[in-house]
Formats: sequence, structure tokens, C-alpha cells
Amino acid sequence: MTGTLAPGREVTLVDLVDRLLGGGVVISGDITLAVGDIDLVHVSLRALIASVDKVTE
Amino acid sequence: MIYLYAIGESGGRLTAFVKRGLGSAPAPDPEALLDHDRVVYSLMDRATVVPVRFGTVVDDESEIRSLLLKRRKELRGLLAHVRGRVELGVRGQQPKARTGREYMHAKLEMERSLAPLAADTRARSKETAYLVERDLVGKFTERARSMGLSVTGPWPPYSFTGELDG
Repeated sequence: MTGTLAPGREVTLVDLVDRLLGGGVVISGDITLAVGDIDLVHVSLRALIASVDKVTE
Repeated sequence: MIYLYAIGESGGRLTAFVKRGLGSAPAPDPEALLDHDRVVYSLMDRATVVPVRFGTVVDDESEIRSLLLKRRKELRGLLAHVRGRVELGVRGQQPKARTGREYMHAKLEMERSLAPLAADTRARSKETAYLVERDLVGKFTERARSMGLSVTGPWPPYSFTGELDG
């Protein structure tokens, strides 16, 4: 599976697996409960990424 | 459960880009991987983001807010480092050579040629990742190809999120 994700983009499944599973920010199990008063902002993005929402600090 | 795609900035505030309403963490099958990549790549067009590793889920939003608070300095640092830049992968930096010395020289030449066009670089298992200014992508790609190398991407900066194995 190559180069079909976006025009001018060269991506293979092997590359995807290597990066998505071996890269990116890691959220480990040391998350504690939130403290302080932080407003939660929900913003719906547009149709292209329809189901993606935001959670803001 | 809430699935995390990426962390970025929105209105100057640290923001997690998420999908709500998951039953469980997704398995890394091709569709799920492509979905993750597609979403993060789209976000990259609209904002400075650092991708979160595939399959990251939390139980509720308070965990996310806590994470953003706790790691805000680190996350802002990462975002500052990748702002205006994309990741490119370079493959084939295995030059043909008759001797070990020739091989080393050729490799060094390739790296010396590409490094000035990049803000940062990381070794990956199958390729070298370069963090390149968006408007240098064309020049970088051309130079790499002129040396017989192949270029993958652009990628969101998976390799530049500060993780030891990323």
C-alpha cells in the first residue's frame, strides 16, 4: 500500500507501523487526577476530520 | 474511552485532539493505522501538532487535562521545535562501496549533504528521519533523490517527540 494517502505523499504500511507504534508522544500510566479549575473547551472540527474533538488545558 | 490523536495549540492553549466514545483501545490493523495517520496529517495542515502514539486511550477528560498540565513545559517545547516543519524519511543510505572506508565516506557525504537542509535528525530502524522546514521540502527531496536516495513523507513529526524509541 503506497502513496495513496494524499497527493505527493509517499507512505507505505511498513512506514506507518514503524512510526505510529514506535514514535509519537507516549502517555504512560502515571497520569494523576486533574487539579485546579480548567475550562473544558469542546470544538467540533469540520467534516474532513468529522469525529475529532478538542480537549484544552 | 477517549482516543488521543495529537497534541497541539489552539488559541494559544495546549490542546489535545481526540475522538470520544470509544469502547476500547483499537487494534493496530491497517484501517485503524490509516485513520490515525489521516487525522494527524490533516491536523498538521491547520495547526502545529505533535502526534500521540497509536492506540493511546484514556478513560476521561480529566486525565487529558492533567496530562497537558503536568507536561506543559515539555509539550510546548516539542511544539516549538516542530513548528513550520515536517518529517521526511530518507531510505537507501546504504551506498555501494568496495571497501569499508569507501562506504563510510559515501555515507558521511550523504549525511553532510542533507543535514544543512534539516533542523534535526533521528535514526529510525529502516530510514533516517529529518525535520525539515516546509519550504525546504522540495529542495531536500531533490537533493536526496539526486544521490539515489528515496524519500518518504511528509510525515507529522513522529520521530521528534522526545521518546527514547521514537
